Amino acid sequence: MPGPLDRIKVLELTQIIAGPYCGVALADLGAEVVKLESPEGDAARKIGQFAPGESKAFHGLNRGKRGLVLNLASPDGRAVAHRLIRDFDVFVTNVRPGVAERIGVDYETLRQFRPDLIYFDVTGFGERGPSSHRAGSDAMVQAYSGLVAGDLKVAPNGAPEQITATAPSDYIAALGGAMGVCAALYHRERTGEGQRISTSLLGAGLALQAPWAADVPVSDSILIEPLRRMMSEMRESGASYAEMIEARRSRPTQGKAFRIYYSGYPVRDGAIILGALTPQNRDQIRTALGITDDPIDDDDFNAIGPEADAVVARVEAQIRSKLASGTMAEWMARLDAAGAPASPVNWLEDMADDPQVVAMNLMRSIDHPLTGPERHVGPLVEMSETETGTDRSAPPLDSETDAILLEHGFEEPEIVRLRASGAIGAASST
Amino acid sequence: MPGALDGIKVLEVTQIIAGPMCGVMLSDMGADVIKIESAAGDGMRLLGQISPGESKGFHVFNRGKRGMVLNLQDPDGRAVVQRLITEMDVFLINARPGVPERLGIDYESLRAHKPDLVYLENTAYGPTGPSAHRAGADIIAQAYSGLMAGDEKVDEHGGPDLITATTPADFVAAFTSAIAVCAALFHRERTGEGQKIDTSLLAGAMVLQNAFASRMPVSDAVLLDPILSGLAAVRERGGSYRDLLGARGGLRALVGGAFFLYYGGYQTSDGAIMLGCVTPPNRQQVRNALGLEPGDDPTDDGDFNALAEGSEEIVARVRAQISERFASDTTENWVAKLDAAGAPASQVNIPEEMIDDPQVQALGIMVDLEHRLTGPETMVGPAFGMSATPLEARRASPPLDGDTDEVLIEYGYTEEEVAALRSSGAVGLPSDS
Repeated sequence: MPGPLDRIKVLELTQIIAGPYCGVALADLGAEVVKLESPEGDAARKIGQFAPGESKAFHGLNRGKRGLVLNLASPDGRAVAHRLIRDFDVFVTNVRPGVAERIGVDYETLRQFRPDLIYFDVTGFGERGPSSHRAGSDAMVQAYSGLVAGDLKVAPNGAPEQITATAPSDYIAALGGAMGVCAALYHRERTGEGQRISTSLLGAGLALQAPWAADVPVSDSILIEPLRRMMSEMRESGASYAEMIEARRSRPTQGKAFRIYYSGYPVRDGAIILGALTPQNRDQIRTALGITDDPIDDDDFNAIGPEADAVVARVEAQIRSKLASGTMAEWMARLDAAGAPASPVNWLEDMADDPQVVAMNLMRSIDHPLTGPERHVGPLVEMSETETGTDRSAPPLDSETDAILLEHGFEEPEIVRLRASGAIGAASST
Repeated sequence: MPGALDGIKVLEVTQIIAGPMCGVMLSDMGADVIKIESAAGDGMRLLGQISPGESKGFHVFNRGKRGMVLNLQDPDGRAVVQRLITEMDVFLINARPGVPERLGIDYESLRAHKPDLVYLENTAYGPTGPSAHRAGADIIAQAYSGLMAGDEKVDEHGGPDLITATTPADFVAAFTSAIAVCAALFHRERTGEGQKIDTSLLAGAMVLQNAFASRMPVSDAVLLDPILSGLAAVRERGGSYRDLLGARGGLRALVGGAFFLYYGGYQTSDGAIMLGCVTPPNRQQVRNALGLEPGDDPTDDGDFNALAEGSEEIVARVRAQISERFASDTTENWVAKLDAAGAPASQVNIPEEMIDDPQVQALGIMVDLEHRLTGPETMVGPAFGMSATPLEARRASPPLDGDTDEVLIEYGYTEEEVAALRSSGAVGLPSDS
C-alpha cells in the first residue's frame, strides 16, 4: 500500500535536526527524499561518530532518504541543483538566513526552474527583525523564547539549565514544516500553484508555551501583571538569575494544588508519575492511595488563599509517604485498577523492547549499508489506506550521487567530469 | 487570499491539548472548525478559570473554532452528529479508547454516513497493545516513553522532575495529527478515498527522543549495552530511582561532557546566557569571543578521547574557565560579542515578557483577538507562514454553547427542530445554567 505522498519527490539541503526531521516525516508518508550534502557532509554525522561520518543521531534523523553530494560553492554544482529541481515537487532547507541566496537555492531562484515548487525553509529567528541574522540552535532558542526561564531550572552553580536533553523547538519546527508541505501539496493539487512555507525555531518555541506567552488582560491583571512588574524591578536592582527564578517559583499560583497530582514521586524501586488533569482523576488517585482528607477539590478551597500552601504541603507529604512505602508493581496495579492516570518512569534505553512500543510497531528495523542492522523510532502516524514508514536507512555520504544523477538525465561522461572538477562528490581524500 | 484548507469542514470532539491544538492548526490553514462539547464542557475550561468556564488555556487551544454543545448520551444528540457529518471532511477525537464506539462516533459508524471521511483518533498509548486502555496525559507519556528519565532530573525528594512546564508529547501529537490530516486530504484529492488516522502521545514522545531510543548494534556495543546491564544490576538489588539514574548517568556524562560545555547555560555578571553550539566551528567562535587561547580547550582536538582517563578533569577545567569569563561581564555585552563572532548564544528570556520582544513583534507571531465574553486577548498565532495560502488566526475560542444554534441552522435544521432538540436536552446547556 503506497503512502499518502507516494511519487512526491523531495530535495533537501539540511543539517542537524529541524530540516532533516522534516524530511524523515515526509519520507514516512511515502515521499521519495533525496538529501543534498556538501562534500564535508551534514555536521550531525560527527556528533557521536561510531564509524567515520556515521553517528546514531545522523542515522535517526536521515533514515528513509537517498544521499547526493554537491558542491554548491561551485557554479557547476549549482547548475546540477538547478537541473535536478525541475523533477522535484518539494525543496526543504534549514541553512542560515542569506546562505540560500548566496548559493543559488533560494525560493525565487529555484522557482524559475520549477514554477509550482513547494519550498520550505526554517531558520532560528525568522527572516525579519533584529535577530534574523543570528545563528540559531535549539538550546539558544529554548533560552530566547522563554522556555528555559519558564521551567525554573537552575544548575547547582546558578546557571540556567536546558529544559530537556531533546530538542523541542527543532522537532516542532520540523513538524510544522511537514504540515505546511502537506497542506501546500493539497493546495497545488486543487489549483496548480506552488508556494513558499517558512517557520522559525523561535515561533516553534513560542507555540510550545502558547498559554504563557499569550496575553489575556482579564486574567493577566491578577496573575501576570504583578509577575512582569516583579521581574522588571528585580532586573533593575541587579538580581541574579537564580534569585529571579526563585522569586518566580515562590509567587502564589493556582498551579500548586494541581501539581501535587501531576508530578513524580519515588517508590521503593524506582519512580511513578501521577498525571491527573480533572477532579475525577484526582479522586481515582485518592481511592488508590487511600487518602480521605484532601480538601483541594472542595468548592470552598481557595488555591491562592493564605492557608493554601500549608494544605497543599500536607497532602503532598501524605502522597509522598504512601507511595514511598510500596513498589512500582504494587502501586501501578492499584492505580490502574482505579482507572487513575499514572505511569512507571521508564528508561528510554529499554523502550525499544517495551511491550506497548512493540505492539504499536513504533520501532522499525532497518539495515544500514555500512553499519548493519538498526532499529529506529518509526513513523509518526498510522493511516488505514496509505501506509506510513520506511525501510531505507540514512545514506552514507556520497553513496548514491551518481545513481541519482543518472536517473535525472545526466550522462556518464558528464558525471565523471563533474566529479573530477569537484562539483559533485565527497572530497577525494575521504 | 484563502488558506490552504479553504472550504474544508472539520468537526471535533476534543479535550485538553492534543486534539484541540490540532483543530487550531487546521483552522489557521483555513478550515472551518466546529468543536462539539458536552454540557460540562472541555475539562480545559476549568484549568485556571478567569470567568466561569473560561480559562486562558482553553482560549489558546480553541481559538479559530465555533462551538456547540451536544449530548452524545442522548440518541437525538448522536443523530445530530450523524446528520452534520455528511457535510464534513474531517473528524477529530481524543478520548480514551472505546469511548467513540460507546458514543456511536467511531470511524465505522461515521463513515457509513460519509464514506470519504478523514477520521483522526488520538489516544495516549495508541489503539492496540497492553496499555491501550490506560488513562493518559502528557506527563504520563513523558514518564512512560523514557523522556523523563532521559533528562535525569531529580527533585529534592529523589523523585523524577517534570522535564518541562509545557507539554511536549501533546504538542507533537497535535502537530503529527495535523500533518496526517493534510496528507490524507491530499490523498483524497488524488484518489477520492478517505481513511482513519491513529496518533498517540506515546509515539509523539518517542519521536522527541529519536536517536536515544533507537538501537544500532555497532554503536550500542560500546555505549548503550553497558548502560542497560548497569540498570539491570541496580534493579536486581532493589536500588532507588536515584541509584538507577546514577547507573545510567555516568557514561553518558562522560561522553557528552565536552559537547555540553558549549551547549548549555552560564551565569553572567547580571543574569544568564545560553550557548547553543552544535559544530566545531561554532565552538571556535565562542572561544574566540571569550578570548580562550589555543591550548586552553583541547576537547575539539583530533586526539581528544572523551572516554580516556583524565578527560573529565579536562572538561571540568575548561568549564571553570568559561564560567569565570562569562561571570566577568553583562549578558548584553556577551550576547553582542558572541553575535559579532557569529556564535549561537542567547539571553534567557521570561515567557510572559515575550509578547513585547522586538523579534517576536517583527515576525508577527502574536495575534490580537476579541473574545465574546472576556474581551481583547493576544495569542501565539500560526506556527508557520505560507506565501500563496497565508495562515490566519480566524477568531477567539467559543464560549460554551456559543454557536450551537447558528451551526445547526447553517446545516439545514429549522428553528423549530433546534428548539425541540434544545428542550429535550439533546443539544445545548441544561436550562437552569
